[in-house]
Amino acid sequence: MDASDSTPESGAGRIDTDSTYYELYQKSVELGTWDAEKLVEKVGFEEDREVWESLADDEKEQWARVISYFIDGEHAVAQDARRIMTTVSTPWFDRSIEKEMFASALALEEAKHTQFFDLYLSNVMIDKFPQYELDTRRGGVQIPRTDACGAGKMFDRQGTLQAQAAHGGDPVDIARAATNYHIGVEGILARGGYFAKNRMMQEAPLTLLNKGFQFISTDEGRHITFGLELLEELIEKERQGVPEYQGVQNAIWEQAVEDIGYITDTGYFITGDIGDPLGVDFDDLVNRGARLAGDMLFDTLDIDNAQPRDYMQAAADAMEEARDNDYGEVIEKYDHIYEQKKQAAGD
Amino acid sequence: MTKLTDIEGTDFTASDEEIEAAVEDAAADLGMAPERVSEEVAYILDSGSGRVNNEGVAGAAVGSNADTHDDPRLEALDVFKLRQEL
Ligand SMILES: [Fe+2]
Ligand SMILES: [Fe+2]
Repeated sequence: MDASDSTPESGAGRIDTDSTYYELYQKSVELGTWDAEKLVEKVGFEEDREVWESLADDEKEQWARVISYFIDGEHAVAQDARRIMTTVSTPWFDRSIEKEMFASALALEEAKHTQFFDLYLSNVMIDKFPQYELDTRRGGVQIPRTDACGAGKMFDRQGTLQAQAAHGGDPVDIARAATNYHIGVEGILARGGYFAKNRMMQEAPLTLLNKGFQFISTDEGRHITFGLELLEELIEKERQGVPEYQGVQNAIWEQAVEDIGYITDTGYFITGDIGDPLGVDFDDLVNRGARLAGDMLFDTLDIDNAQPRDYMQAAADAMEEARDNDYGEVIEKYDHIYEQKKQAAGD
Repeated sequence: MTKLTDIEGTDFTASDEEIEAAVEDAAADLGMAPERVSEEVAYILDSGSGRVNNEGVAGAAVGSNADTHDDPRLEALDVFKLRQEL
């Protein structure tokens, strides 16, 4: 081969520039390297603070419930990103460097999302988060609101599943972890949150927060595409009959059904439980979530032997339970614990 | 890679001509080729999938952005322009 053939356009040597993972990585470099500090500086907190101060307490509470699960969720996915970097470099995949390149971009982006919400919460919404400072100093203890709803349980579960996948997990463990992280947390819980914020913004337009969400949701789109690509690879091997990959689709389905319970509970927690002052509409939110789930599980992954009815039933059960749930009591319990810790830390 | 005017979506209010004109203006301001801007903005909306799946941008009908008439493609173009400043 003539050396003059290898122009940059024709690709590199050991990196496969035709790979979807490479394209995702490259788009992360082009689009995902926005600077959270600069964004905050450029747009400023003033307008948002003004709007925030004009809100009624129940409206603030609704935002606080949404932002609680976003900051704790971003923190949790950032912490688990290192496990994804490990998992995609195992022999269960083809050991391509492109996946690792993208996973490193994902790790940076999740850290940045955590940074954005941390800045925002601390500078605009802090009156609704009296123990927040303590929580972060303790290394990611969840906010009482997060602990009170399904999202808190879902993030705990995510840590366990990701650890299992990264430390000697087989393809079935990896499928479970990827389903929970990329379909459940990023693909439905977070995107359901964007749906909610769009509605809430109509009544309470928090400009800087919306800009942050626009950048973050753009990054998340790539993370979800990445997760679906990984799952497609595993499913492909299962369909080819490779013994170690048998059970992958079943694991995806089981995990999706488990997660929809946590997600539905969170949806009710941020809407119906507090009278939905900013008009999200719980039923619309559930329908949106179901649509997103259907697109990923049936249209994109086309998994076998999955009954949409089971999925809807799991969501309906969670809805029923959520309506009887006393979240306030749980929040108070955690508030109390945190208050004691805060006093202890102050002494 | 998808062109912005080839992307599928439901909430489009602007015409393809309006989109192309807005992309050309932005490209001139940024000193970039219009095709490149079109591709990047499409990617903001579809993450490579060919259809709009970024409701974080697409549905951001905050009502406060009169320039975009709530068309997700113009909203995404605004995101891209701001991103270039960050
Ligand atoms: Fe994130
Ligand atoms: Fe993510």
